[in-house]
Amino acid sequence: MRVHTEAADQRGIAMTAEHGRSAAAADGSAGGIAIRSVCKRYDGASRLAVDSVDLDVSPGEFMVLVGPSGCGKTTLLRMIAGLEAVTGGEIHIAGRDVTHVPEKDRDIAMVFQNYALYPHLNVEDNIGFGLRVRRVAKAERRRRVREVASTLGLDELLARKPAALSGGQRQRVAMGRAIIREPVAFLMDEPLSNLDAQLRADMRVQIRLLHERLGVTTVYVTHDQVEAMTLGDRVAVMRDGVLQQVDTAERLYARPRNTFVASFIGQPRINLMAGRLERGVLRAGSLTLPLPQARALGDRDVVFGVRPANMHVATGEEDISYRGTIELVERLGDATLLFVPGPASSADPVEAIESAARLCVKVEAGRRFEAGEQVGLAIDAGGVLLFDPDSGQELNGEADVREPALITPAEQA
Amino acid sequence: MSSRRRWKTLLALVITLAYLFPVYWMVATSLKLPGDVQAVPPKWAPVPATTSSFSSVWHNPVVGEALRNSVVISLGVMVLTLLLAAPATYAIGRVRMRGSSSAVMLLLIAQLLPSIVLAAPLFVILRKLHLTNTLTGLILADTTLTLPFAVIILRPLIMSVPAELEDAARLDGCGGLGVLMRVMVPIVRPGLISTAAFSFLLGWGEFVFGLTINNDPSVQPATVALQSFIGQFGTAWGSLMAVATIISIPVALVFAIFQRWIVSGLTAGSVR
Repeated sequence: MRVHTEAADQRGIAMTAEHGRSAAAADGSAGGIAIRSVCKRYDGASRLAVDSVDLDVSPGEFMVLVGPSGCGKTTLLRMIAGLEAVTGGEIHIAGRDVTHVPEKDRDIAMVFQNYALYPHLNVEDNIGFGLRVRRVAKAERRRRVREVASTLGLDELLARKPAALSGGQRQRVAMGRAIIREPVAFLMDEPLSNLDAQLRADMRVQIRLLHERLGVTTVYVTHDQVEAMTLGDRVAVMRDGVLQQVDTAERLYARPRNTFVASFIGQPRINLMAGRLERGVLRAGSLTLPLPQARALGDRDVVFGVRPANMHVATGEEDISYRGTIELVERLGDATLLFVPGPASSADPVEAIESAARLCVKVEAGRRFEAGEQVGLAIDAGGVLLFDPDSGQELNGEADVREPALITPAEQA
Repeated sequence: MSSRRRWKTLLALVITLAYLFPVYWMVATSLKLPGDVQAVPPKWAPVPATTSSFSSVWHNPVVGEALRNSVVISLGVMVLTLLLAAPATYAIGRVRMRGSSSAVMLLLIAQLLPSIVLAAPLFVILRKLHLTNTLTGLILADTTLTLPFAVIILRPLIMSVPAELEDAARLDGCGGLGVLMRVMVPIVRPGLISTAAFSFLLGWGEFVFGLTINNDPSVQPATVALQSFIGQFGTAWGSLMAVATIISIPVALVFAIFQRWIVSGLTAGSVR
């Protein structure tokens, strides 16, 4: 019964969001966020939790901070919020230096992972709390709470205490508490990670629709790369406190700047292997792939990455780069994943690269494969990413590997 | 199985009766005729009963004054404890600072010291402040006993409140005091109620400080006045027991009303 109601509620939001979209685009009140060389060192810690991060969030942009746990993304978000003091650097919100402004005067609203609803207040008072603290008159407060509640499909629940709400409902109350303040920016700290998978996917859509309607600058922290890719106008990938790359989802996928971004973004994970380039031919154990566009890099050791979707099981003898025996087949319905032991390269300097042991190939579900079957794999040369084996940095330079014509001898330098 | 249960019930009953017997004897004695109080063999029940002891102490100005003092002292201790305990516990439990755990340890030790040990130094301090022989002085002295207890009750409650709630309140525009009053206090209200009940009862029943710090009978609490009746009334056990019964009534009432919170306050930290 509850599930049914919830689904109905969500349709409610979707419709309202759709309806209001045109009105919102005109609203230009949103402000950008500028982060300048921001550092954070916790008391007694030897290394920086956030290491001189520079990041610009445009007005109205949806920026996602993503990275494994402990990468500093939440710390960075909390510094933007003012809940954490910065060790160095500056933070500007809507053109104002707020580095040393207390959290309550930054005009931002935050949605927390555990929702942080006030347990002693009902839904109406939870949503209206910020207005009450700021001494907004009762009638006005009531009007705005109703408005926000109807946007989020919470009208029926205003009298309930948080303990009597489902996870999805609590999440929406937390959103409502942020929205009602009409802040310069929303900060969201893994707001969906406490929901089950189905609801998470639904709420993801709701959040994106809400963003399109309200147009408020948003910084969203997640460790889930699917959430990051689908929600963000741009995605900032962090690791060990250092910003790795800030880009659109497409560019992060197609042009990762280093092996970390390459393996963090993309599902299933990219196959990273150690190999050697010689006269435009890439070799790794028994794997051989002509890579004419990489001739400019000369002869050298590399780490190369191939996305599972950039390989297929060859039908003709001529384009086979690698042969192996299928170890495991995962059927996803619309596609099938084949796992094949990777090319054991004798000169493997990067043993740390876990995915090298087994290649993952994503093929269409049409043809049926079985474990134990011998297959020849063809690799789309345009989709091969090359990295320096020591630094992990991308070797393709600024040129797009998909357009080999763009690589000129000048770029060797 | 069922006979074992019966034995257990019987044992529990015997223990309860053993504990309650003095209380019964107090009430019974207060209702006996003067001649029956020390009868041999003892009269188990106050038959015939009389309220003459009650009416005599009720019209005794010393008793009235002592009871008024006790009411002022216990309410004062309760209010002062609540005013100090909430922010103090919040600071100890939440604000990250050096030595907060050793502060709690010290409080615990202070709480375990017999109050007679503290009475002499407190007397010296309060005399320097010209607060001996005042109700204010006694309220301060009693609060040194209730405050550690309050901190021990409230600390686990405050620490169990997620830090994000405070972050949320700050972003919603609260300052430090706003977070405490609008979020913390309402959430730990059950703990505050049990703290209030405890400190009231402690102030009501306190004897040692009342005796040592205030030697002027006009500012002594009922517990001390009770003791002074032993000399004053000689063998008038009936009056003594009547006063004792009157003193017991608020204790029973407070406990009956706040039982739920007192028990939950005591167990809150451990069960979580």
